[in-house]
Amino acid sequence: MTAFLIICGLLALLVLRVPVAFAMGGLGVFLLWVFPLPLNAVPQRLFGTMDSFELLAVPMFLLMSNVLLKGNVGRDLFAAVQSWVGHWPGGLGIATILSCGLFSAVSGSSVATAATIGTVTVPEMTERGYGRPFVLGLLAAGGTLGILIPPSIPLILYGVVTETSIPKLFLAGIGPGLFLSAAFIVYSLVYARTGNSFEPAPKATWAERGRATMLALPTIVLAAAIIGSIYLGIATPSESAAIGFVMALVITFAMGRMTVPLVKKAVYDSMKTTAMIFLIVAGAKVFSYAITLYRIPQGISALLSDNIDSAGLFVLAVGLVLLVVGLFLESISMLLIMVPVLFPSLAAMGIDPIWFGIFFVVLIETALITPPVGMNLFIIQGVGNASLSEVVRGAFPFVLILLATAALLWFWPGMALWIPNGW
Amino acid sequence: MRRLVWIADWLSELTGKLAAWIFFAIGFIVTYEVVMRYVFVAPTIWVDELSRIGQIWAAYLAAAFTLKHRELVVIDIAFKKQGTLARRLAESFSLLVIGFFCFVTVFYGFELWLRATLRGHTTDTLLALPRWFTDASVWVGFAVLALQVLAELIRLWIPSADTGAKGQGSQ
Repeated sequence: MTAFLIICGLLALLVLRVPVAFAMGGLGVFLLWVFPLPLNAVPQRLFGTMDSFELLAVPMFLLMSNVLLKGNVGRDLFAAVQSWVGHWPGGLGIATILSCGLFSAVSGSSVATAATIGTVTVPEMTERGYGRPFVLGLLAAGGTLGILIPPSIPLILYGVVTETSIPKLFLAGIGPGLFLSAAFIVYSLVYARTGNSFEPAPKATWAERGRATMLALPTIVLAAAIIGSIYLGIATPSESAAIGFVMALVITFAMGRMTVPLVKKAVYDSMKTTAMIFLIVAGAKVFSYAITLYRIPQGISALLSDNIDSAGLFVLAVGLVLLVVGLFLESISMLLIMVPVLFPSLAAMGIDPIWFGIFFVVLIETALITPPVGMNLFIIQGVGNASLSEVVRGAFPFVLILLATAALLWFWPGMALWIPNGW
Repeated sequence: MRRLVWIADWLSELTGKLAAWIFFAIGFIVTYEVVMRYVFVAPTIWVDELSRIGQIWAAYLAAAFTLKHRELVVIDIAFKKQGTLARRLAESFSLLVIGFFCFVTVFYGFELWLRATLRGHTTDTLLALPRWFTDASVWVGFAVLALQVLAELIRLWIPSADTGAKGQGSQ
């Protein structure tokens, strides 16, 4: 009953437009006061939450991706990939997904990936006759690769909240990230073969390919350096993110793409996103402290293990709940509200926490492109100057692909676990 | 009223920009640490702690800026129409919840800070930083946010008090 009242209270606050961070934080404070417990635990929790070197990876990756965004590297990546595959049937669709995959390797955010690649590819693809819903849906879905292919901000937060190894989570994201990229590419090829009339890009000459690839090379080297430095044990994820940020500044200045006003804009933009995420993390910390005192996660865990005796059924139930929750909640909020509640049940069900992190992120990706609240839908709606219904229509096939991938992850956990376990 | 709104806006801009440059500086000192450790085999004793303390200060100093610029994540499924009485009441309620959270944090945070300051506590690390500096981060950040909450409430109900420095966009 208490759990039901708390959930209703949280929903009521959210519906009344209380920001997610303060809906959780405010309700947490109220619950502590009712318990009753000394409220000086609140500032102590807030201090302790941010006193984490692991969490530093979030602002550092955001700084890096904002610098690259302002330095127009999205255009370079797309031009390079397009020069190789753009003339194939459906080639621009393939180039879009490959560009999203490459940008994902230097950005931990799906919104940044969708916005960066979308700005370049929407005009190019629509000019060449690709159907607008397809283009918009492809970009909304391609952007979601940003949070699965490492580095990934949701995976960092999942690692911090559950005290799971962030490098292992990053490794586990590679397999499903590549699988999803391949699935999106196959869909683009099928779309191209089904008789839609569009004009392929002209075939690039070897000189053009060389020039375009050289321009994209620094970003590709940067992506390799970030992942390489983590797995060779040279740097922690936070340190590698900081190095990546400094390297991004050096690269964009060296290419003549960066100016002091652009640096300022990148620094302020990343601060805004960082503060937005960190306040949700802080609010979630107070909330999860309060609900733990009320033994809500333990109660839910006991309820689930009493009524659901198979891990498969548990995953199915969690998947359905996340699918519904994801219709209304933004990705970080979804993760920080649901993970503390669900995580204690994993051990009882014998579910690998690394696998669950990846499964959760695939469902977050689905949430990002399902209405009424889907951040990538809104971003692409803005970038493509389109109606929301057009983007939703285009994104629907990709929702099915994402759900099929989540199901496949259950039947083939090795898709996520073979890299971290084999490392 | 206008003066209060102006001061709150000015302070939020200042603390937000300060927070942004703190994150910027952290990027460089952490890179410096990696270079010192791997190239010169001379790890520092200060980067880890200073970057964490910098992160706490920056995270909470930026809170008021995010409210002013409407960067906080709101679930936009009800009271969508701007300017209606229902929307203004919902927004007022939302600001009061933020204000309540700020009040608790500032009140108890200040109490903890005062105790640590009077007793001359330091962090239990090699640097032994004074706790008056580290612990102040939470209540100072939320005090600035509380002031911005007040400014937003005034702006909501007394449009003439708006100084025109309001942030853009909403989630």
